Amino acid sequence: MSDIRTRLRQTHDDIVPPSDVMETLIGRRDRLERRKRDGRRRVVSAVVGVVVVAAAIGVVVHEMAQPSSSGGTVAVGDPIPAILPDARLAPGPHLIQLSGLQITFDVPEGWRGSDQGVIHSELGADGPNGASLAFWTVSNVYTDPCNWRRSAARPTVGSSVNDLVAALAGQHGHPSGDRIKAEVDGFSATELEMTVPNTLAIDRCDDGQFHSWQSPQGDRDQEGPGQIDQLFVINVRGIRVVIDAAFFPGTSRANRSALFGMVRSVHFL
Amino acid sequence: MVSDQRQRTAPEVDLTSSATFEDVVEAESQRIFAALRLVAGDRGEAEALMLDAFMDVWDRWDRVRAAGDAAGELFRTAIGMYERRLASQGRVRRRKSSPANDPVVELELADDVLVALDALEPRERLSLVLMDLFGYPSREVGELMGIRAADVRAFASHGRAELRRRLGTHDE
Repeated sequence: MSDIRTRLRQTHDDIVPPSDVMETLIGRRDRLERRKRDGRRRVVSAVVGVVVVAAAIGVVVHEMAQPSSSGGTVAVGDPIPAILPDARLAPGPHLIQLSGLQITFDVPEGWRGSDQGVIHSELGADGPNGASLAFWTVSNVYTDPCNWRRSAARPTVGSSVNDLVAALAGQHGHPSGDRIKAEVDGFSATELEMTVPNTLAIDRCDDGQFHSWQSPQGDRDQEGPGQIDQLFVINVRGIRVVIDAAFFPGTSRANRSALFGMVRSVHFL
Repeated sequence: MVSDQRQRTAPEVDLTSSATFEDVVEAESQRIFAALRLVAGDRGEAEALMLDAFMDVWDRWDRVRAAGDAAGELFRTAIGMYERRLASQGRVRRRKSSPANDPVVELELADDVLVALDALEPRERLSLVLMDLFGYPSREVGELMGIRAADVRAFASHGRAELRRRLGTHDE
């Protein structure tokens, strides 16, 4: 037997798997079944709308106002708690509103609400090891995020996913990785990693800030040099959503995994 | 390595048709995750693939159980998913983790085999692991990857040589 195989075998046997695999699978299955139920409920609502036009809006509003929850033990129809800024969040599904969309995602232990998502309760969103997740609808980008006061794109960025990704990838002084095709909640997405240069003297930027884009939620200004923004740009039924999983080189593996776990759990109602 | 020394080390557990899906998860999680960690070169990617493969097998559990080779089907499903991701993306996203405050990552970074393996090209890694660790013949690996057996052997050979160079080892 070759030495290579022996060493591969030893390494294979030493690899530590994630814990609670079965629980994770049950959670996934629950979410899938919930989506099927939601789909059926939407169909029923639409039929009711055709028959009783006057009542249709009320039916839909009622449906949207009372989303079912994920998680194996929560009954259909139980409300999903909304994300409250600065509130420490109990583990489980939470709801956030964005430009008319209702978005749910599973929050693990140790996170608190922010205006547009969640940040790590103890480490915050800042360097050297913070982590945050936020949802955006981007209206325009800055071509030079450090000199942002004079660099809003003209004409403004187009409305497609590709328009936005191309504009972000072309930003001066804000390097990006490859554009990766991905999927979020069954919607096609483009994944793009952007990094604020470690060597950036952010104090010399306009107002000491580094702004990437404009949005109805306000400008996105990065927390500091070295920050990595893993962006998922998605067209959700005509609304271009950006999910920003942000972290730093010092952010622990566990917290990065938590960020991407939340992205994987996203459900657009 | 010669053919009579090959032994398919995954799957090893013979889960009979009476096994439940939970039995398979319990018995196979470490094995399938470790295999995917080796071929994918990243824990996050391996975990996502493992969960996707388990979900796929769960969806058709009655048929998988009746066929009597749940562990093998799980392994083939997971590797097939990885190969399709390679084919569609050109490369698999690599989210390299930081050693800060993460003992599992620190352990992995201390494993010179894992570090050397992660440095290989994805298809070299896949060919090498399936052939040298799991004992699959190049023909079967080629069918799985949609490439010629000769190309699989070339990938594995190059990966093997690179691994030996990095590890400073020689075949016995």
